[in-house]
Amino acid sequence: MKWGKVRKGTALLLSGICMSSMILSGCSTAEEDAGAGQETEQEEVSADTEITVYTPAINEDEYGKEFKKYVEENLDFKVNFEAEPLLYADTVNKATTMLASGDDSVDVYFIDEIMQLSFMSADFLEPIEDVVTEEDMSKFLEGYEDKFLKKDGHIYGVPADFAGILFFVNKKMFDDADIAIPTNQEEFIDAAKKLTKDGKYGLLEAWDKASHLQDNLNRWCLMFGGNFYDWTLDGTKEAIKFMYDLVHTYKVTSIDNLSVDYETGNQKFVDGNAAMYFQWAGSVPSYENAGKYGSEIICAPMPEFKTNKTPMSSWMWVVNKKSSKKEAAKEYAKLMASPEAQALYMKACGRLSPTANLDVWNDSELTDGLLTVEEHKQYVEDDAFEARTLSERHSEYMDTVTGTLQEYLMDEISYEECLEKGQQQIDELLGKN
Amino acid sequence: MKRKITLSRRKTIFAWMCVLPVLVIRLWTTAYPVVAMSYYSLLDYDLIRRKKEFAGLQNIRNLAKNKQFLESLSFTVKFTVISICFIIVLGVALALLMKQNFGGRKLIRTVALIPWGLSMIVVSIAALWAFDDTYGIVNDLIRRIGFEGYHFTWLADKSGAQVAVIIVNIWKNVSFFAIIMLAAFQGIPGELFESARIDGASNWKILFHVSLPYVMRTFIIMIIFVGVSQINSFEIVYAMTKGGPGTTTSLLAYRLYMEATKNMNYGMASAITMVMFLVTAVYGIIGLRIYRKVDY
Repeated sequence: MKWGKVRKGTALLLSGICMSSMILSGCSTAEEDAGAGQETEQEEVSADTEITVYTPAINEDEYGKEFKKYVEENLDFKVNFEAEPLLYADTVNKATTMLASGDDSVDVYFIDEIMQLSFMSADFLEPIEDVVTEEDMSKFLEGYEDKFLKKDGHIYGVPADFAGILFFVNKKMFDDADIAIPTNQEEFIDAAKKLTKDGKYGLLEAWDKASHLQDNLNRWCLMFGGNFYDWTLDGTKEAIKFMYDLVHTYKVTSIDNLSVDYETGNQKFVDGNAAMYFQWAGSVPSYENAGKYGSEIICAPMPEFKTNKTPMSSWMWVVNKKSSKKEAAKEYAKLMASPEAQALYMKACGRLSPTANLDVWNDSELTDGLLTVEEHKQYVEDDAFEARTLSERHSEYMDTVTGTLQEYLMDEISYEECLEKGQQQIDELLGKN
Repeated sequence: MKRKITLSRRKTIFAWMCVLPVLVIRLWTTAYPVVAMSYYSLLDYDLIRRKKEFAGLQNIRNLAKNKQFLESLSFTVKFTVISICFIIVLGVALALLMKQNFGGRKLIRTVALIPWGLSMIVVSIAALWAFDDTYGIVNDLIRRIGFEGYHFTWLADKSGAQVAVIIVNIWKNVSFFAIIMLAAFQGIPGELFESARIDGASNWKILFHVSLPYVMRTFIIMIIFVGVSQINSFEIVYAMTKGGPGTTTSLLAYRLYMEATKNMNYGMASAITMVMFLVTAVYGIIGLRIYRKVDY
């Protein structure tokens, strides 16, 4: 009797699911979900128009007020700024969820290249070339546009900042030990060894899985002439082996780096726990706030290994395809390409990084208040920057491929296994497209 | 001829009308997502590839041979079983301690409640620092209790990270279990203890033959409740380890999050949700069956 009831219940449940599945199967395609083929009704731009911009919080200081005033004076509609979460992972989650669900409450997003590539592929973004022209784009780093802003001939974003991974050193530790700042691989290893003593390390690395390990892998690969999307290259293999050697052979950095993210790393570096640290320029405000930048912590030229290359990155303004105020949103994006807006925004949100618009770099009035402009100029002069090689599946890369690298760094798998497994994972994720 | 509606039928209709809004909301917020999720789990639904087509059980088949998923499943089982065991033992012990009459009982009760009152994400971020090799309080405490020179990179070691995550989880959840059990223990009539003592029962016998049987239904409900929340744990690894090092602390809910929000593969994410749903349902059904059999 009881089994009869169970069977009946199961049959009902299954038929319910099947029925619902059949009903739902007629609902939408992936492209419709993403917004393709569905034109959102557009509002005409007027003084009553209000757009919402999703951005890191605009500070309530003089810079913030100046930026908002500039926007107000240059646009004929109102702009509301909605603060993004502080943590990168939370920003990605929120933006992805909102865009994937077809939400139109935000008209303009401020995103990085990783999100940009995924969102362009998923058709979440509105092309903006009718407002933002090639002329506007000519002010940015050469080649960057084709790599991250364009897809199928359309332009999708306006870059805001230009931040590279810079080589920071604790000058005081070098001076105390009477060691010169390294300029090549040999000097680098030598200095790191000499400065690893009394519980302090020669080198600090952020190898946390969320995002930081892939940044560092990318940089080491560039320095060895490799490519972190191709683990068959000699340069990549050498870089991976070198990362392992830093911990296990030279013992100049801690395996605990595997749990170090940028926030933890910055604190350790400010506290003088390590002498050298490759870190994004965006960390400088925290060194500055600690009263260490310039006096104790300085930015040095990239040491020359096989190359002196280091990644650069930019965050950008993009327009939500589902926005009902696309024209206004595009006008905002165009305004953000102007030198004044670029400089004001970097100060208003407290990033203080150099702007993506390279013309700004030589305008002392606009750069006043920004940090590391001169350092970036020097890196550009040294031809040290290279735009990152990314894919639409980079978030997956950060989970799977860097997970494999962590296993190798922990000595869980061999070097050969690491290379084989990593390349297999890369092939798999690129093969999905 | 007009049919007359009886009073009891009118009452029934009225009652249904009263609960209808809640039912509609419940259907929309619970039944619809479950059905949609079941449907999506049968699709090859990937936003990056802009693909959404029927794939039958392909996602489930892919999961069955996906090493990362299997590792997540394995760690979720380990995490849930170990956490539940410790939460039960420590929770009951803490509840019994808080039930005793002694000076500072109120302070102990207040302190015991603190972990429960904290948000899991806050606890996890604090734990990330607590287990840090340079600043961490954990290594420092171990050194202070006599293990001078002790150093262990908890979160950069496969087993260390798993242990750290489980310890933090237990620390966070024990107090809630203990408070509910304390309330249940306090509901036991004093005469039962007196009778047991007159009969010469020891404290252990009173615990196992009087106290625990009396609170058995609360005990089982709590095990179901805590177990379900462990199976679906997410924030702890999201904030503390990001599923690493490697994939060693990647709980099922974290894998689901990666597939849904990072990889934008809704088909695979739904299949993982389906697995979690089934595991939770089976666990809940077994628990409820045991609950119904308890007769006290």
